Amino acid sequence: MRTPPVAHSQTPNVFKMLPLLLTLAGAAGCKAPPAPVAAPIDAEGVAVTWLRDQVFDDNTRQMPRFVPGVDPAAFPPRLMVDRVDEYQYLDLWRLRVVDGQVLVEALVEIAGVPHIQGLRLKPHEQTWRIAGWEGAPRPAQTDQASAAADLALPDDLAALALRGSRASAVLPVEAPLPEDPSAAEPAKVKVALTLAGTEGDCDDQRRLKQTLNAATTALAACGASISGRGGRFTFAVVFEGGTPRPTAELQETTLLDATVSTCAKAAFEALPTSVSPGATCTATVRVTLRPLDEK
Amino acid sequence: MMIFKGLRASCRIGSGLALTLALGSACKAPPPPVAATPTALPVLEQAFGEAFFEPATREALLSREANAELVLPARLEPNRYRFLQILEMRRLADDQRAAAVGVAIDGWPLRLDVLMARKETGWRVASLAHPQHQAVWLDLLGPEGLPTSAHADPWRGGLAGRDATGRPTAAAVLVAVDQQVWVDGEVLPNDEGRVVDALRRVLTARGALAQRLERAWSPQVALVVPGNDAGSRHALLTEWAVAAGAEGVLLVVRGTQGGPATLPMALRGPRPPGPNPPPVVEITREGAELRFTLNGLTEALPTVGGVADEGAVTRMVSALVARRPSPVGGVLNVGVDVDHARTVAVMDAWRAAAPDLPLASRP
Repeated sequence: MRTPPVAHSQTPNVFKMLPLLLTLAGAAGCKAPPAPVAAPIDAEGVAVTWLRDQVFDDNTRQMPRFVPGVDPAAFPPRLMVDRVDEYQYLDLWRLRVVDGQVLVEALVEIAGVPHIQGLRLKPHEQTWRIAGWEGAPRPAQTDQASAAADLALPDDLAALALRGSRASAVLPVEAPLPEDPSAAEPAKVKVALTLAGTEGDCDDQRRLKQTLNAATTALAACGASISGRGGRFTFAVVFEGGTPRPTAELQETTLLDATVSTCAKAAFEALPTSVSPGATCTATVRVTLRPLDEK
Repeated sequence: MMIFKGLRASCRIGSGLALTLALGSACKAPPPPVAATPTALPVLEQAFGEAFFEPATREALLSREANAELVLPARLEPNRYRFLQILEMRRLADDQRAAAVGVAIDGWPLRLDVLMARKETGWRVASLAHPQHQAVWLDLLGPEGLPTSAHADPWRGGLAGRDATGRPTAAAVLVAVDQQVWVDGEVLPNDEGRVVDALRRVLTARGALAQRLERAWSPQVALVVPGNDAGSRHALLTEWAVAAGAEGVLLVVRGTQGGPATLPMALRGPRPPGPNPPPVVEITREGAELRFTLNGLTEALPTVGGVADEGAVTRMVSALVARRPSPVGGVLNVGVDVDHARTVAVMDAWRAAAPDLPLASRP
């Protein structure tokens, strides 16, 4: 079943043989071969050749195959075997090209057990060089067609992929909460509303608190479905004189269910204004919702 | 473990064969450089890259079946096409690989799924996994395809959930054309349960990634609907997206240069209790009129063939926004009687007048 790795070093390698081929062609009286068409160096070939034949080469020979700063001796399968012949490259498992980099997953055998080892190649000085690898090989699995596998990227590439997502605005246009039979029942949550700070023209704080407290019933209805220990959110509620209603912006919340904070935002934005024309007051309001049956 | 059988032997045969071929053909017209390699990647890169519009070279890289299935080169002008990269290549067997090829048409990143096979002459593209998808992409990017919006935001995404660099997009992409649906490029039947499950999977995977990287991310779905579909289709798909956990929805359109662009969609939530709900503009179609209702007052614009003058819609929205109390957003009531392109035209006019005022749609 097993083949000693020395057999691999005897395997003809077209990359190593390329100068010889060109010399033979020239000696046969051929014209100089045309320049390769956009001759991209074969990233798969670079990866396969290294994984199959060169993993255990000494560091001097390895350095030109690596981008600076990557230590060939730290390749995880190298650290997992006692003898060179305990490592065996089997086949390419998966290859992806993302942002100009090649992510290879190779099927390798380590001490007789098939594993998958990730390897990353980057273009460097007009060739493909090894730029890193997954921290440890993982057991070979045939079930690889999953969304998680598609998104399994090195952190720097993955972070870029997540940029720019935003939650949509939610317009309060559907049936009001009191029409929901469960919301019509007596409130099951205790609402604690605190004015945590003000900014701008908020001189009449008593009136401001009165205005904000008017949202308490609506906030209790918003939190009717919460369970466990309840939760907290903080809103910046901006009253502008001359506009009929304030705007509310969620600043932080401990509640994972976005519908509660969306409902609370609408509750604040349904309040009347509480400042004079021309004035602007921003109130930082902290709301704590706690189920009444909490022990 | 059967799948590992024979791996070593096939590797060696492949390399040796490549050497023989290279020597044997040294004095003839040089074969494509990729024919001398034992690897599949260069074959794919050349077939969908420089050889794409060169039948003689391409035929050497594709089987007869795959050549017959590949219709894009015959139906596209070369300046509309660009090879991007190989999105993925997976091992199926010693001598078989499945690959997803990233290409762009008119700047829209797309994916073509192919099967590769290794024969005596080396790797070749054996067949296309879904050859009929090419016609769908051409229709979507043709004159009757995706609607255009002059006021949409440019978008780096494409029709397969990847951008031009091969990175997944932050938003999952849901494409719906007739009875076919794609979620991030995976084809599915037009079945709510299947689509919601698939969306939930890809959103969950993105969420897990964001959590691992400690990055802010909101579950978001970008909807792709052709202009000739019913005006209500995107609203229905929005409900599917929300059922899958989406908190944000984008409507994918063609921007002014024809490239990918999006219109942000607002979602609908419950009104807070109390006598004075926040004012919202309700837009409805009544006969040949487009009606705008705010705070109990309705104004109407005439339409011709279901199309209202875009400038008139923009002026109407501007006037409504200036009213007191000013609206917090709008809801476009969409039906099956008007197509998606005309619905998007209203959304575009709304965006021109009030770019920051959210607009939702109701089926």
